[in-house]
Amino acid sequence: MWSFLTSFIPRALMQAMPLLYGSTGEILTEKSGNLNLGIPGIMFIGAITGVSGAFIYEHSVPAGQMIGILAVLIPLMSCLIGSFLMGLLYCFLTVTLRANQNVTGLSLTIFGTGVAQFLGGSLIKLTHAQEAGVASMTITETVKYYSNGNVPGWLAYSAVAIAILAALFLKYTRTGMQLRAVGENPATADAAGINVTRYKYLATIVGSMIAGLGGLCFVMECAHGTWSEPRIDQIGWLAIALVIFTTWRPAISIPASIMFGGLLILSEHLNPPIGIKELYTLIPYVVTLVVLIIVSLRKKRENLPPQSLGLAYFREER
Amino acid sequence: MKSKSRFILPFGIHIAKRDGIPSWKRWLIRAAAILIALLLCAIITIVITKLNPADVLKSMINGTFGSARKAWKTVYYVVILLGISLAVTPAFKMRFWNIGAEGQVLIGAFAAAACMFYAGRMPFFNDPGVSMQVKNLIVIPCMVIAAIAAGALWGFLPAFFKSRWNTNETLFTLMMNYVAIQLVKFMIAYREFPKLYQWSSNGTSVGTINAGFQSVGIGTFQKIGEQSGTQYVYPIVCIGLLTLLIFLYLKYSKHGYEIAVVGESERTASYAGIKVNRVIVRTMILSGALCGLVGFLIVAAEGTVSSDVVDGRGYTAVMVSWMSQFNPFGMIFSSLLLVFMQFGAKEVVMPDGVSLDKNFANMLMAIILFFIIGCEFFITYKLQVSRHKKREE
Repeated sequence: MWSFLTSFIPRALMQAMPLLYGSTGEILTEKSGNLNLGIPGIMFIGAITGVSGAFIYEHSVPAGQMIGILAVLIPLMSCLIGSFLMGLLYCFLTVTLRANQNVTGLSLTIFGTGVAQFLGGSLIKLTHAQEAGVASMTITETVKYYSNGNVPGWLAYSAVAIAILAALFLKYTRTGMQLRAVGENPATADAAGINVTRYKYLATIVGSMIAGLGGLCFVMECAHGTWSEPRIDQIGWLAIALVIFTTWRPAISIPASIMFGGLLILSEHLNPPIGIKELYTLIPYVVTLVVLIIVSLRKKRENLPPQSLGLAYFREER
Repeated sequence: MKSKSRFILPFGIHIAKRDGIPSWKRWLIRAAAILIALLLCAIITIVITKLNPADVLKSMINGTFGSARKAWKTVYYVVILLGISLAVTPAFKMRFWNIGAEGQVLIGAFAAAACMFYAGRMPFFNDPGVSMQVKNLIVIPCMVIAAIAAGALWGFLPAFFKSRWNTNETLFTLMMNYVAIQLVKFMIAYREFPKLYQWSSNGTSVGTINAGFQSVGIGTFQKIGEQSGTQYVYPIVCIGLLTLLIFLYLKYSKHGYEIAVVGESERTASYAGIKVNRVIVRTMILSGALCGLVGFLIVAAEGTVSSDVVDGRGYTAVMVSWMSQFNPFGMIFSSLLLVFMQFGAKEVVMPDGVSLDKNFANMLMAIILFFIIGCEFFITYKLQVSRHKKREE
């Protein structure tokens, strides 16, 4: 039992952190009234830009001569820039051009998945690193600066920190309250002198950058720096599910992600009879469905989604 | 009330809503957007592959229509994507954000396969004394009904909760996708679904659905696909009919009109005496049922089911439907373009031996879609340069 716990808990925690990043990012985004279904794509982009940065750096310096701070910063910055651009694209289309959020988000997901899977599969061939005998894109050196194998690394701790900060921000700061006002009723917020467009842009872009970190976290923590067709899209959709599950509260998202992360890998640790494994994986989705229904049944105001979620705001069409 | 512009941009540019736009101008803007997008895609492809554009196009055409077998497969993929796009269209037109086509198709395919699976275990169907025609006559209708019922159920649930308690349908349908995927995975692993093959090898799956069809009298189609495309005839005919029916349904039926009104404004619809909730549930059942039917067609053509038999096409279909502005005939071209890019990309090989793939095609497709959704803005609004100098307020 003890050995089960010591092997299961750290892995559940590591599996949970990408989910936590994704859900925290999406909560911030949704609080501004933007339903960003592009989270899986953004996480993919965050992952691939980070990994590409690390990969290029790792292959441009001789082995063993990497500078620690650069090995950390290059993937981190490229990940942030990549997901920043994705968030900007989403905002430009939905806020400035007032496009439909569902369709924009979906195409963002398809775009991000396509870019990441294509680059992940062919970057190694394009850089001719293949001759060095590497089968799939790996960043073994860089990973050492991110995690040390079997226990969660610093990216995991930052996920928790970011979630707590987001919770405090939304609840106690003036900006956070104004952000919620934008998500609930942009017309009222506008009348109160809040710059709706700026809030939507900022919240969505910051949210998207946080979600992008989740992608990087997945590669570094769960995949140990190897790119082999990761299932980041599944993580991304689950992160969106987590947003409902936690009823838009980043702080609740911390235990909830750990639970979801645990459920995702539970079957690997329990060795259930063949097939039953898939039923374990079914649990998070069914639970989310039930929560979604219960939330809409009870209609407690603090549990409901932001009222203007999914709607674009046109000042002239009040 | 002519000048509604209140958004002040740099350089004195205002955004104003257009009072109306002639149809030709609307399509001109869209065509321009698609053209720019295609140009951008071409540039990206050339920069990445460093190949001559003509060569790229040639290998793409070779990859999709290079041989009879490839052409059949391309057309089959086009019709399946078209079918799913048609299925999601009524709900989308109603502004019901159903992104659960993935799960609805899969559960339909699953139900159809389950019929084959369980029939294969019954002694009656293993009795060599009973003719194949009779067996097919029993199994095929069962498959169709089961697939449609399963898809309809998957469509009904989110619509029911949406109409009753305003449950968010986007997230609901999304979760239903995963429920379907995991259920299929479970059944494949637990009930050992692959045994389905055994039954098929007795000659009761793919080919025979067409064989049954042949005896009904559409054997002429057989001649077109002499070699290996015959199993695709059935889906192609079905989806062809469906395209026409959906067009008529949306354009000329009372239901289609109600869908359009609800899509424009639920409030207007209810003032006009339309029972909004009933329309929502009815349309989603239809949408799900059609998805289920497509699921059946996939099983009929491929003779098997797996958890990734839909392969993301449920999501892609949403793009196809949106790109074509819910026009069924437009969807034929959109799905053709998409499948052409997906299949063609695989044949494009760069000088250093790396070939493009489906992911690359998806990326280009998303770029085209970005342009299309972006250009709607210029159809609804116009940018005006203010005539007066910026006023001091």
